[in-house]
Amino acid sequence: MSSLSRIYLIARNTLTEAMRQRVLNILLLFALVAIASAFLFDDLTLEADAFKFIKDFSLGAMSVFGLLIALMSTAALLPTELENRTVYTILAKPVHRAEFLLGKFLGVLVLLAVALFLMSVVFFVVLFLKEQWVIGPMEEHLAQMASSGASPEALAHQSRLIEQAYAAARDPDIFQALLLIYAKLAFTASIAMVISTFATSTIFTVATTFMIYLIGHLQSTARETWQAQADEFSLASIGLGVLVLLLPDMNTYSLIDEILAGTEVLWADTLQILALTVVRIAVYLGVAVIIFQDREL
Amino acid sequence: METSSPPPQSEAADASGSASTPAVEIRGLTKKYRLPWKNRVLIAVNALDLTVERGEVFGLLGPNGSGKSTTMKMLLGLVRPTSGTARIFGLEAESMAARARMGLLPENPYFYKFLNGDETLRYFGKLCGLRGAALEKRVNELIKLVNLENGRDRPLGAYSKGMLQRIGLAQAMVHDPELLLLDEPTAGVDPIGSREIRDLIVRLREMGKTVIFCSHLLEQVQEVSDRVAIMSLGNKMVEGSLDELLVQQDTAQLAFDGLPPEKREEARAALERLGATNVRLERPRLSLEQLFLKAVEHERERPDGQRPTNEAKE
Repeated sequence: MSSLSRIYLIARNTLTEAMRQRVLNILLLFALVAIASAFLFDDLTLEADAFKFIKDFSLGAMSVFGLLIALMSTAALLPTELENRTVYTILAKPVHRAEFLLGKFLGVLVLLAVALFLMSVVFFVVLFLKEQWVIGPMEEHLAQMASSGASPEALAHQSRLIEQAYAAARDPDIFQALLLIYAKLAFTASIAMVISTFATSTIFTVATTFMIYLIGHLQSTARETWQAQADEFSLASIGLGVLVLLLPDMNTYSLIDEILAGTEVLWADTLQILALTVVRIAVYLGVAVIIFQDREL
Repeated sequence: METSSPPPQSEAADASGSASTPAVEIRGLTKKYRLPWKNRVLIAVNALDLTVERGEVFGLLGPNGSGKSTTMKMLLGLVRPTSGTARIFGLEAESMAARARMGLLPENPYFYKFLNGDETLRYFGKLCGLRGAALEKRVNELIKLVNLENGRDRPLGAYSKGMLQRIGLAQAMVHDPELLLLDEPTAGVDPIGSREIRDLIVRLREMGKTVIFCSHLLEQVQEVSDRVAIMSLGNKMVEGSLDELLVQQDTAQLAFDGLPPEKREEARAALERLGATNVRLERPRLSLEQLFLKAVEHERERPDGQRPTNEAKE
């Protein structure tokens, strides 16, 4: 019986448990409805803007709801087990604490992937319907213009508009953005995992992780300030240094915003961030395991 | 650190080879909890020595907060001792190998409410490495053993207290461990269910298992235990076989009917004439309850209104 199969078992159990939690289901339902509602906003003048709006809105909703799901499901992992004392029965079996923790976390990772997948499906359906809705009439209009003998310039202009709309609707970079959102959520979940290994309540974990998440977006600013005054030896610079060391840099994932702004992004950059995320999560989980090993149950 | 590092060679050989290694060997086991915001510690378990032989049914008794559960948790590596050692069949208590040989029924067990009886046993069975036909066979055996046919496809959220205890017993036995730790196996169970659990413990002994159990139902403990220990405020007050502890040696019991109360003194005088000394007319065998109350007597409120505690200066 290998460690891996025990981790797999615990992960699957965690996933089943999470799926049957009403709060998470409702949260996911809200997210799906929110993303679907993006279809209804269409008083935007430029057709290409309609797609940008849908992408902005949907990916924003995915980030926010994903963050809520990540925080709540991860923070509840250990307290639920401890309060219900199910942890005793599991750890009384020949199961390592590390296996237990990793299995639980893996369950959350799969849960996040499922949630993000469902949200993406709704998102792509909305995008596809919008495409039919907006570009269909544009192409009809073009055909009409061609048959009614419009000027070549006017025709070219209309085709360019259609091209732009297509480009906005079918931006392949969106997949990179989705992967990055997932990476960001998984990383945030790993922070919550560390905190929940010593926290005494779910709410503490949620609140603290959320704070770290927010401040983490300022980490790069703090780092730059610190680097600028590195040779200066003051209380402020030491404090800043400690902050830079302790806080995770959430700005790594700002590539998502660039993709949404329409900047072309290289896969190489995205893959690099994904690799960095894997390393970060591994380090955080390592810390979580070390703390959990010594915890009194 | 919780480790799976193999025990030293000699002990490993001892554990697997010799059948004379005790099931549980506790030496100087101590657990202190630091009390937050106070410069004091709570001594939950104080230098406990305890040996439980293989095949014994051992009753661990004591009032609430006497350190029984903490002791059990230390045996399973759920709580790390401050000092002292605990060995299970010669293996370090915190090792995976030791846990593979024992099963725990925790106090007030709760399981995943969304699983039914079969799923629960399958989950725990798989965690212990059982698969396929062997797993199904074991699940069927256990369901039968604890008499839980009606709970097979019912979610545990809809179980009664007695059914929860029984599924708890079943999961503790899923990997057929040699040692069972039962924390309050009959708490909150009706008399019939309680009787069934008692019978199950007897059956476990017949199967050659070692059982350590905590209970407040002293009568039941008296019925099934070979030996008992009574703990109070973290200290072991009494340990021994029930015969050693309860039978007052050198004392005979006279039973008779029809002696009028006013003739009692006469009877006593007659016995003393025959050479008997210190004649008493009470029952010579203590009940376990009497012994228990005597052992934990010092916990009661003292005349100065203070209760003794197991808190101490650091």
